[in-house]
Amino acid sequence: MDSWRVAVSLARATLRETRVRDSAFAAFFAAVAYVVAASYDSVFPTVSDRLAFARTFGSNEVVRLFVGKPYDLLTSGGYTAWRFGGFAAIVAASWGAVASVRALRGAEDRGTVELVLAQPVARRDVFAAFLVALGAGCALLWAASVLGLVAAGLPLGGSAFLALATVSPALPLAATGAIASQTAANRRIAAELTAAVVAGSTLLRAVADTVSATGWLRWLTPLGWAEEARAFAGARPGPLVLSLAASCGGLALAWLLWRARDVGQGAIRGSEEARARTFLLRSSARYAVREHSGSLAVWAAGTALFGVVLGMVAASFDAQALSEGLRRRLAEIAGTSLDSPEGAVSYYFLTLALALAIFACQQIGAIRREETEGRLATVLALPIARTRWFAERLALAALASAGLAVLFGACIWVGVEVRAGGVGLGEALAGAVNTLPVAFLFLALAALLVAVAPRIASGASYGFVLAAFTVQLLAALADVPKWVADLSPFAHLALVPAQPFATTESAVLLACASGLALVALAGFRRRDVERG
Amino acid sequence: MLAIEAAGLGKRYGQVTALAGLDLAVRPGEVYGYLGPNGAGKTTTIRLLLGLQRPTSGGARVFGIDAWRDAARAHRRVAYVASEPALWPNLTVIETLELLSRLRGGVDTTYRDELLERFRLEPDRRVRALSRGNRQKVQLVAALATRAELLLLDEPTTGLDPLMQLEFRQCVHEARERGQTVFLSSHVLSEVEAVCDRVGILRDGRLVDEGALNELRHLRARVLEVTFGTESPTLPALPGTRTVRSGPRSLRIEVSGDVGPVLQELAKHPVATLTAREPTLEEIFLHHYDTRHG
Repeated sequence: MDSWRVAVSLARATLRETRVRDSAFAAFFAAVAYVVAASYDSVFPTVSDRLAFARTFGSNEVVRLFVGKPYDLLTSGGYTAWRFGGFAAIVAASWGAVASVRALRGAEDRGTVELVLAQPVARRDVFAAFLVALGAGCALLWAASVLGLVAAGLPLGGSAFLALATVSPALPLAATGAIASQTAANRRIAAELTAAVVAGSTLLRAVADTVSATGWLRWLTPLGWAEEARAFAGARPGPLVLSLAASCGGLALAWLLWRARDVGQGAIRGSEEARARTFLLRSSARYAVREHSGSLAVWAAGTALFGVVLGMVAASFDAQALSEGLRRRLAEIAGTSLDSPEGAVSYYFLTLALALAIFACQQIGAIRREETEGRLATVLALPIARTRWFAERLALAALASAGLAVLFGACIWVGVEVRAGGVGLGEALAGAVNTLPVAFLFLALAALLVAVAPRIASGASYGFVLAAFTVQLLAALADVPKWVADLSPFAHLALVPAQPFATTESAVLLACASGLALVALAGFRRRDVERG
Repeated sequence: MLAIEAAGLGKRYGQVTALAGLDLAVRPGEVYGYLGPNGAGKTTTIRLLLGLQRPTSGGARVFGIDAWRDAARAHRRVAYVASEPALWPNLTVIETLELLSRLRGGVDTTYRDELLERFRLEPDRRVRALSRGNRQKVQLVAALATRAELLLLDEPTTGLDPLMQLEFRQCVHEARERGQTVFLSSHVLSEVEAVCDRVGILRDGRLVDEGALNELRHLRARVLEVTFGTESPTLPALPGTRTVRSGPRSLRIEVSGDVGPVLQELAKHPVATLTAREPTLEEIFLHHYDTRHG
């Protein structure tokens, strides 16, 4: 039982370190669950409203892409299961991925695991502590969701099952993160591999939910299992058992790898010697490109894949099946007319804006790690000015975002062309480039955090993006006051090409981004460089 | 023009004073030892001199250039070795040196290759596969190969084996002969003694003593442990010595200054064993600096 006590105290230490992030996620789950469930009656007061909505969305691939497949839109429970469950499951999966890589590899790369293992603590105890902390985190997210659902008036039993289904992808993704943590050479690679699996699952579910005859793909992803549990629509526990079984299998494999490998090194080891390659060593900016080329390639591949798939989905949208009234309702909810490939493509550029915002946070995280790992001091002790170093790194991140945007625009055009056509290359590129002011704003905001509040910069920048996207999501559903909705930078994005390019909004967004970036540079110039 | 000039240089972190009103003047060509126990403020001083941190009082100049405001310009004349080597894990040794050299705008590659040999570094090893000591050597080679006018070295021999420590000392001697200025922070007395012209002693963020080594005689004190074949004799009082009876047949003699007179005196007695050691920095701080600010 001593072993159990050790595991619990280690798990407590982990939970203490992650309490801010975990509470933020719990608050997100509770708030979204409540707002979605509570808004159903006010948004769709009559049975005919509900029937109309269900008919529309029963065949609407555009909206399904983000929130999954609905099974019952005539009850507030079924509606919530689709609208909250579909999106929150992705968030839960991301949480599981982040929590597991952080616990199993982050601590190790910082050297604290070595310290722990030098005590009379077995590897078994460290792994058990991870499981305890993971279980506690999942329980917290589950409880928060149940709270939100029940508070909005849904029955307890159904709410408990919906919450279970929604949080369920956290476990298999945590297992994925656990395996990646054992095999990858370092934390960054483990995190990127796991993020790729989350993105891949999302894409797979999106395809399964939107392209006919591909429904079976749903069974290949934890997000699909959560959807197949069909909470509030003839609930089926089977898929959740499958999810749990897969998680146990994955975790068992991670445990076997952890038992056998060297601490501080992945099970798959790169060579420790290499012939010197001196390309891209000429300046710190060029070296940054070289160092991050692998990660950039992954982003580019993901962006291209998403682009093509979304383009194909957009092109397969059949407008003829919809009545005039339903088209109008769709347009109200999506913010644009979705009944043409052009409309659908415009809507999809919101995903690009979100992806680029996350990319900005990731870049800022990498910049910040240069400092926490001490290399920034190494570089700044050379004749390199601080402001210049920071400005170069920000410019690189902005340039990479622009590259990804253009790539996405081109690929979505390719996707549309493959199916039916209907969107010009120029229009697709314009729609993609149109998202850049929002992406730059998030980049500048994150840069400002690095300059003035470095310790919380990385986490808080993701927090801003999540908060902004949540506001955007809620604004589309409930009667949120306009000024609240306007807080989200995403709200100021015109859906080009369906809507005309918003010159004023874009100019204001760019001006804000530039202003924040300048303040960030000035702040970075004035503060202490932290010790590694 | 002074190589390093600090006037009232201070750094506070909230309530904690890391460095209080440091006045420092290091002349070009000098090898200056900066001695102090852990947490005395040595690293803070060096980071202030590099402009990595902003002074909360006073300021510092490097070759007359403001260390904070004009850091990048000052760094053209400076090379730095950090106490914790922070390098790029995926690069090999030679790639790291190449990157650092290009960021700097060129180094003496012939000398660098010679240094690689002398410090026995394998150029194609990846940094992540190196031990701490070897990573420290990569930093040293990178800094020395610049032939910068001022070397700021923060506990540079931590993690080096004794053979490599000797090699390092040799390099410092060579740097001095070439006219380079060296600012060497350390908590190892013998290292500072071996290479430095002048020493500053830092305690709790304050410079408590400074001078040439022969001025700071207590730093050169030796402790002689002597045992005798018979009961230990009573020695006459000699200037600069302090004798303690450490056992019935043994004496502990602290000598600050030449040991010759003590040896002559001991030769008159049946000495069985004699060992000489340098006092530890802790002993010196205990005996000489504790009361001033304790």
